[in-house]
Amino acid sequence: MPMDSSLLPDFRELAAAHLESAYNLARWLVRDRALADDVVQDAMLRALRYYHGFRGENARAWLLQIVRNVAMTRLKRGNEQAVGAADSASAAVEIAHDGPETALMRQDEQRLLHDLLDTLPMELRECLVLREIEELSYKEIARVVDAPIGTVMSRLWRGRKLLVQAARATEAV
Amino acid sequence: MNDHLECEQTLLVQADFDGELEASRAAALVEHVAQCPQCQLVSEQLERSRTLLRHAPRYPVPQELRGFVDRTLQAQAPAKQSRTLVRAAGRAPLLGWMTALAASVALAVVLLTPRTPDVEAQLLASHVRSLQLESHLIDVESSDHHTVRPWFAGKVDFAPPVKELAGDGFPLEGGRIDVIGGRTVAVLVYRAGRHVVSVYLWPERAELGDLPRPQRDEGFNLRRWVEDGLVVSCISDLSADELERFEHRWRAQ
Repeated sequence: MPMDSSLLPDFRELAAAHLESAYNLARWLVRDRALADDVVQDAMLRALRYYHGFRGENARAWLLQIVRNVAMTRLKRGNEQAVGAADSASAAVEIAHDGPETALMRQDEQRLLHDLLDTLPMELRECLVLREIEELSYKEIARVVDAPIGTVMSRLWRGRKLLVQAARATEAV
Repeated sequence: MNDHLECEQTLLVQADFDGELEASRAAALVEHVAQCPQCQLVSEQLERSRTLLRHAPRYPVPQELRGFVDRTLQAQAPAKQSRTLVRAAGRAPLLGWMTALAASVALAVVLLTPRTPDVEAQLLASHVRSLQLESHLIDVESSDHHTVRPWFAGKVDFAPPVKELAGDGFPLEGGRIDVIGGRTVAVLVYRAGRHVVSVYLWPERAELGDLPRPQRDEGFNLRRWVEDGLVVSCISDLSADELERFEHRWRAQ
């Protein structure tokens, strides 16, 4: 592959800086550990190939956009529901180990949150993850999910409403 | 709550909540919310959703993925590095390039057989490229050598041996043709767990380069030997031991 290696150090830095965001988004989209791995690998290679055309503005949104495109392609190819169902229980356990002060309560909260987010349609879930976990701006989210800002705003609101409703329903049980 | 019951300022309240509203509009909105019960409800829901999501975790990146990204990005520019190496050999201090044992092995090969590095680099680039786009990985998709073998007829001017290694843990995935050193070569693709082994085959008479010793290049392992007049090159990110096992199983058939 004729690749200008002078670009590589920059790209490596970019990739390293945003690997966590990339993986987190992939994981929340495809809801499967192995598939999220594949998605990020593929996305990084694609990003490297497109890197010469990257103008340097907002690397994270640019990279996440590629991650999302790859994830969507994979999900269309496979069966989204079948894959998604596999993740929630094991994931909640996996991430519960992330802090020494993590108490049972927190673990329960996380598990509950997973279940709640899992019930949301993908296009609402991705907006919530990008806004609340990755803390992207509306403009950045619009770029990543390839939708107008107005659409992002209404998806965010619908997602938040559904999340709150689902949480209330859980509490009521 | 149904959408049609919501105040038309709802999304503005949310934008303010997300810090997306300019100060002048935000001030006006505060006045509105103070007298709009619907928007007060919206504010409550926004707060509640953020509380719920406050502990939403970021998934930790698996160590294997970090390793893959590092290795793959390093493998992307081998051709250029190799060519530079050859040019530099006549005049420049070489130690600067020898940052790792792997690099020094590659260097020895470069100096002894000037035509080899391009082939090595092309094999590596081809293998990496094939992993990027799955459509490039395989032209004929089959685990049956009776399907894959005839597929090569008319595409390459030799009959590549297509071996069944599924019993050894290396199921055949398919084959493709590729171009290495300006020559069309046959490639067999085997799966090894989550790894891919590409087996490149071309006739010895093609003289694409001398045989290097088994080597490790930027996280990929390469093994090559001559068998029945064909040069067989295996490349994979499998461990050196596993790739050696692959070679043994292949040659045992």
